[in-house]
Amino acid sequence: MSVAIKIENVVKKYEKTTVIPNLSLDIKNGEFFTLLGPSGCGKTTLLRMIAGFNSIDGGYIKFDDEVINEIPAYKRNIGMVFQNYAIFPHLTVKENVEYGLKLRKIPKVESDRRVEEMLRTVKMYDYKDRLPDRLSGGQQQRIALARAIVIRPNVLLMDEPLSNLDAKLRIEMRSVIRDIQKEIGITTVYVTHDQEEALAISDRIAVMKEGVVQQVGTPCQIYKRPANTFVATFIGSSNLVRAKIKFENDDKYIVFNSEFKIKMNNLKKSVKDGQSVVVSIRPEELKISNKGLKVKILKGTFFGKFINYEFRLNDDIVFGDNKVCEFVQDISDVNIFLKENDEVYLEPDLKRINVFDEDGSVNLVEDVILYE
Amino acid sequence: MNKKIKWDFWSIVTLSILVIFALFLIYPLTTLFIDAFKEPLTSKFTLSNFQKFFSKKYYYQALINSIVSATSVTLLSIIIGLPIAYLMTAYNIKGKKLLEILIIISMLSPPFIGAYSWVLLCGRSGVVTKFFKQYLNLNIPTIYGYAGILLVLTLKLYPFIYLYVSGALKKIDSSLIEAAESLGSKPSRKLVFVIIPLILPTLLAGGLLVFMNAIADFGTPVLIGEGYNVMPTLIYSEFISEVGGQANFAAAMATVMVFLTSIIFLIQRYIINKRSYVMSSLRPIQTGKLKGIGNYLAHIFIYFIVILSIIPQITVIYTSFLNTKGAMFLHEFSLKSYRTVFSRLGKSIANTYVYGLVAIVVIILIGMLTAYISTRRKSTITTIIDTVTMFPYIIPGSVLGITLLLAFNKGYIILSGTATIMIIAFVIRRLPYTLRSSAAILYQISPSIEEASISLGCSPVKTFFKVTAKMMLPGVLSGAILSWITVINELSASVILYTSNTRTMSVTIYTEVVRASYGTAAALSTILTATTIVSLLIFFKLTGSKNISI
Repeated sequence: MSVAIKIENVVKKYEKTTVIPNLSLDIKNGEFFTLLGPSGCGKTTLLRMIAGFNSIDGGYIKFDDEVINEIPAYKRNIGMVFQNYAIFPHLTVKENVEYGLKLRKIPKVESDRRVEEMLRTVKMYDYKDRLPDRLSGGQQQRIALARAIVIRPNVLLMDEPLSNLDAKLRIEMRSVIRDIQKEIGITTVYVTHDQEEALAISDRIAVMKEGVVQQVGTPCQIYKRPANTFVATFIGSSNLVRAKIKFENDDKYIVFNSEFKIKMNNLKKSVKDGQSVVVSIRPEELKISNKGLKVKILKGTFFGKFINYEFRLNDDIVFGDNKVCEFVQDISDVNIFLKENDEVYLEPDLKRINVFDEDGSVNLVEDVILYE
Repeated sequence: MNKKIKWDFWSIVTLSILVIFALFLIYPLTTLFIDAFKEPLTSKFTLSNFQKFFSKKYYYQALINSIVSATSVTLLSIIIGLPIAYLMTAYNIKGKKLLEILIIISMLSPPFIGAYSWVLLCGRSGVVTKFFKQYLNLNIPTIYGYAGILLVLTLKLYPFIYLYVSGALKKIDSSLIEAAESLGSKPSRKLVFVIIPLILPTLLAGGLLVFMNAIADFGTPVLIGEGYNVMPTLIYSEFISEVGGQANFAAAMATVMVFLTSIIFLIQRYIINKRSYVMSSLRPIQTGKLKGIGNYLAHIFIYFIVILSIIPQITVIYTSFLNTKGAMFLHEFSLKSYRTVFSRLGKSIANTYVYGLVAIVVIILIGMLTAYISTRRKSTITTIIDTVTMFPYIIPGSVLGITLLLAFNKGYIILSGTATIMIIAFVIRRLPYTLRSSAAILYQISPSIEEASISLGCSPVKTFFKVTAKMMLPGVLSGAILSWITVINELSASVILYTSNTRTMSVTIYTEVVRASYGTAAALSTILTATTIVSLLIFFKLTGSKNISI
């Protein structure tokens, strides 16, 4: 049956390089949990440690309360779905799905019933006697999913299962996976580098960078209140601007330049007067106004529902190397279209923007959740 | 990954394979090298064996002969093989499928059959010689010596060039040529500026393979070379004449030989690593039509060469059905030769099949397991094994035979004169074909297929036999067919290791030819050629392809 996964102070080393220095996570029974991060962040390594294909060089991984460190992969009762599908090419669709049941010596009648039910669930029943070589990527991935779930595994592990599919199929398969997972209620650990996919599919997401978990939370929490500038720019996009904190009377202000400051009363108590900060503003959190940051438009790209503008700030206060910023303008509520070299004021939405400390590592807004 | 060694299935396999190679390849080879530096009677270390070799013309001339003949064979094979490959890939040639099969057959039949049937045709009392003498009063140039070696080996080895180059040509995407043309290259220049540079590494690799085969060949020079001594024949005769005595001088010559082949092998590896392009062809070159005189010339050229190279087989088969009187063939058909073979030499046929089958089973087993550990379980030990398995490429058969005999005719393990030592020689010598094709297919099988099986509850060892081995099979077979055919045709090592009880068909053909018993030799050769062809046909049928990996 489905289990909760406890990862406690886990370490992974290859030769002398440490890929995962010390990582802990609690994955609840039945939830859809995603490991998200850029390539090389250790997400696949961690998944393969749960699966048993990578050794665990420190700490413990538990299924419910049982430590599984020394249990070999084939005895862990996991269902795994691979990036390249890994369908057995010499077996038919039905034989592929049957594979794990045969090893478990499930009686023929019971096995046939489960295979049929599973193939119908993934809508591949009509193909049951085909060899897999003529099937499309999407169909192969459905079989891989069926093969992994039919054995009723403790956990379902998915390693970038959609990244070899084309864009349209990816979105279709994403809801297939999500629906089946909810229907069966199996604990699922899903690895992806695609933030949009992670937001769409997950109950909770762990954002990873260089083997370290940056933030764990629901898609909404992570998008709205990212823990640091890495999360802010990796999930969606954010413009990062340097500013200073100023206390006036009982109020806290963020001062961008001599002309523009905004009142922010939802900052943490630890914030000090005069402190340098980095403000993160998402493209949709800016609107054209008569006050705010003075910018010069570089380029506008028309997307139908909205227009995306690239602009440059008049003051050199952008954080990081990329000095080009972006904002989006919803077509429905405006009828001013900006041209190249237009100069306008952009005003950030103070309820939605995030404020980080000087090096971007800590979010200074009150309601940030680092780990839920 | 883990510091403590886990005694799982694969580490046992790794160690066993290491032991096998250490015992049957490294140990004998080291013994040989040490013997080469020893004085025959006193066993003191000395360079006198080498001094003797390099100071007497009789000896070092063989080395020069070897290099000269192998170089000529290589150049001639390229001159013949390259145009055939290009013409057959780029243009419509009638009967292409049949031609390809004939080319493969002429490559895979034993070279000494070629030598011996050319002697039957153009030798001193050959059919062709007599014909010219009788009716035209012409003396055709002698077939013995350098010319004969050149003729036989070229016709036998140009198929390597053909197969290598046409393989490379098939991988050139036609868009490359179209790109060249769109950039203003004339169609005539595309050959020089696009195609030749792209296939050059392949051509060099093929050329060196031909060179290695030519320089290591024993059967051809021994039958047709007469006074023209080359290294393998010299080593053989020195070794045989020293039976019972010390083999130090033969060992020294073998060392020189291995030194030479190692250098060539290293050059080959260097070239392949340095200048190979990764090409994948989505749209291979379209075959065009040759017009007018060019078309006729192309057909005449290709058919002439292919027929010339298949003549030995035809001669052998034809003469095997002739009645004989001593060394003479009579002008009447008879099954006498076959009757003689089955009554007197039946043992050699049985030996060939039994040893061959045992060897091929061992080869497939070791080949698959070694390929697996060296691609999936990389470690220092597997790297060592990887390097060691390359050795048979650089050790001529006769040298391997001598090393095994020297190592196992005394001491704790005595194998000389047994069937086992023959089979060991076959396995060591012909394993690389199967090993390489097994490794090649493993690189194409994603490790996640195995992981999928493991994740579904199948143990790693069970997964290997249930999934991996099954998926490897087509690749393994394409190498195993070559191992099998070369095993049953193997002569140069067996001729040193055989006894009257363990003689194989190849050895018997050789001894029959030497004692001028041409009828029985022809009958045996026919049986051997038929076995080769039937094996090939079964393989083609089984895999549905014409690809053998060389």
